[in-house]
Amino acid sequence: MSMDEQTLLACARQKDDQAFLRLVELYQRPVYNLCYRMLGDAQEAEDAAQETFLRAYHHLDRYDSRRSFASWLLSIAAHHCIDILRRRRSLSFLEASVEDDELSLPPDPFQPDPQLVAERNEQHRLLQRLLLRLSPLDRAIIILRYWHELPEAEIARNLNLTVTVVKVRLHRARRHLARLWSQEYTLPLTGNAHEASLL
Amino acid sequence: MKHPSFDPFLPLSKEVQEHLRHCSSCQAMWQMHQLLRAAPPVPPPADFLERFEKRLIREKRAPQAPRLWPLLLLGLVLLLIVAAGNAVAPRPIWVRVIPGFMMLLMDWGRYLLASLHTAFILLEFLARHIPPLFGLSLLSGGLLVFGMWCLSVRYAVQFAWSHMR
Ligand SMILES: [Zn+2]
Repeated sequence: MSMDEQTLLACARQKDDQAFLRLVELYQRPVYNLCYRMLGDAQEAEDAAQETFLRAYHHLDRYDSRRSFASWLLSIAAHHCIDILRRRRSLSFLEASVEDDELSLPPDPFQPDPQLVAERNEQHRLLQRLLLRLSPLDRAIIILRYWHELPEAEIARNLNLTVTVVKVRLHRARRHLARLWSQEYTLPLTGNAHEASLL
Repeated sequence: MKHPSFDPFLPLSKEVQEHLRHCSSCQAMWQMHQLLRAAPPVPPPADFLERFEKRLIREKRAPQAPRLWPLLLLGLVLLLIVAAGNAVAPRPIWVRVIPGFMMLLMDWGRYLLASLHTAFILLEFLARHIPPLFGLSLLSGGLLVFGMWCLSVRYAVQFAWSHMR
């Protein structure tokens, strides 16, 4: 964490709202991404991300400054999204399931070939749909590991699991996703020759 | 075929690479790992911060103001009533309120005893005239319906609540 962030955190703890808003600005991207990947719906993701920051605002005194602030925020967001999903599942007989949004990704500046871009986007859209078929906990583990690059020990700590459980679930979820992909899609998993040559 | 366990985030050993070449299941998993690694984050809407700021202001304003003064007002009204009662009545008001309250409690006790007595008589009648197995299934059926009713009320409240927000 940079010096600047330390100062911002110290100010935010003294109830300086401007400092807290600056922290929100800094961390809105990871928190929103986690919520979107967990819930698969833009409006719900925004609500959940805002709720995450509100909880952080009210419980800033519980944040242990030896830990990474990003990881603390992500753990609040993950727990909140898991709760939402469990509630959604228990209500599913009353409510029509949430339709999956069209995933809109930012353009990739390093990829000039439009056909490859289209194929990649299609792969990522399909991936997001498969992600929503994992259990809430497995989904959170995959998202934290891949998009937020948290080490397994940190994920275990955030989700109150043991490292072994995280490892096993990660492995199982990866295999499950790969199996679902081959069962449901004809599009190959690897889009370009570069990745295939890694083998 | 036995699949070796490996961490795809670490460099692959020679044996694992060799296995991947021949095992389609592990190969698919390895490719899934690559796809996950390449998937970009989804950016928040441009006005996320602005909307959060509005929500924070709204939230901070809402719960504080209307807490204390209704309680104070209620206390004041009660105090006035007691004071007025004391001024008008020949004896202090609590001297009359407490015995009245005790009588009320005793009445409630009597009602409770009477209802229990009725319930016992009814149960005895049922036990004598209904075969035990039939009674048991009737009871469990009733409990099931009651449980489902409780659940439906709970979900209806939760549903209404999640839509109100
Ligand atoms: Zn294998």
